[in-house]
Amino acid sequence: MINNRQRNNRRGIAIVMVIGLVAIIVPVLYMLSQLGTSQTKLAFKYHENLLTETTALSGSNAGISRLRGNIRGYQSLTNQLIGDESYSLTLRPTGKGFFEQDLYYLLANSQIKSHHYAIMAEAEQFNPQPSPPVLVIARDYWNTVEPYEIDQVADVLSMQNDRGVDLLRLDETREYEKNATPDQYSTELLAKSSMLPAEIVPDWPEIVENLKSEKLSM
Amino acid sequence: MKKVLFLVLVLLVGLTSQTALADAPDDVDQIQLRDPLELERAAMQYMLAFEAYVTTRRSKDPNVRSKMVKMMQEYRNAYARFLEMLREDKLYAPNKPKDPAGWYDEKHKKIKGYKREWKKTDAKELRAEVKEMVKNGATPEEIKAFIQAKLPTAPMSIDPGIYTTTTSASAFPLPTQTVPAQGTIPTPTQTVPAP
Repeated sequence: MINNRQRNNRRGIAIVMVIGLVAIIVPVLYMLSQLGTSQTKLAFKYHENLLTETTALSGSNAGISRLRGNIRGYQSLTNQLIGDESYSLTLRPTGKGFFEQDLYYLLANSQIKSHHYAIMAEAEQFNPQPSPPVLVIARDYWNTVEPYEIDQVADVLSMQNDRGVDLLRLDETREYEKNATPDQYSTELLAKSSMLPAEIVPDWPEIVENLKSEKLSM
Repeated sequence: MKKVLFLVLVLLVGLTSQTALADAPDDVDQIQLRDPLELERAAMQYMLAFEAYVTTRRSKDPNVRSKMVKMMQEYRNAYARFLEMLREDKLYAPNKPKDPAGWYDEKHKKIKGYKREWKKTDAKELRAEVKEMVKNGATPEEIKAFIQAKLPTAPMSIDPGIYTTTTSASAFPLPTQTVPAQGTIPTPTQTVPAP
């Protein structure tokens, strides 16, 4: 026969075990759930970032298509839908080239939640002879995650200045690329492999070989 | 009060809907007027090199696509040469909207009082020839030599100042403009005073 004292002891042990289990398992479960949530949140963030970039790129391509279609002059399109997302596009004439071709700033941006992405490039729209499609050359793409409004002159001027600083650096890089011998160029690039993500390092020599063959050599 | 507000609104809309960023060069005097033929040759070269590169890139023939890197290099070289000219002549500033012909004309106007008449072209026939060559498997060297051979040898643009005006003896005299043949147009180094 189990007396009352023994029964109470067993009950006490059971209660301690239950409390102990709860004290350990609940925080572990909570931690695991938080871990899963943060990874999910991160995945969503990356997805949104990527979606914002691709949407802005689509906007930029839409701008090139408009120019190819011989649509000329200042153009500002907002809330253009591509799937469920939207982009804005601005084509802002900047001047003329030596074949009377129109020169433009090609601006596109997209925003998903708090993510912004804006692209700024230059485009040349030649005059069709005698009819479209029109030759369009786009180059010197520049992008930013700053929330610029591409249809506002003040914002475009800021972008123009920021991009100008990067273009100056690009000029320096081009100058170096032009003046370095192919061997100097590849040696310098190969030496940079330690600064690269581990995934790229094995392929770097092949990439450098390609870059060497594309090097400016005026 | 409403009228004043409306006027302010109209002014603001006018300011914010500016269509072109008309940035003038910092100092027109610094601009150098190079022989337009040089600029036209450089522009034509990168335009045709771009056509060759794009045709290679769009091709589905592996043999043609294998030349893509070299074609891209030719285009980059050609554009870099052109950009270098603009930089030397102070016709380009990285943080300003590009308007090389506009800036050239400003200096031209300051010196001569009028603008140069640039030739409006996209070299459609030449580009078609380049495209055909690429499709037929021409090497990048052959394309480069072809482009080099087809570059203009006389300025395509015209200096309106060298027009000659004569009047006929009819009852309704009409001014006629005589433009010399392309080959006889003096190069701007002969007509434009050194800056």
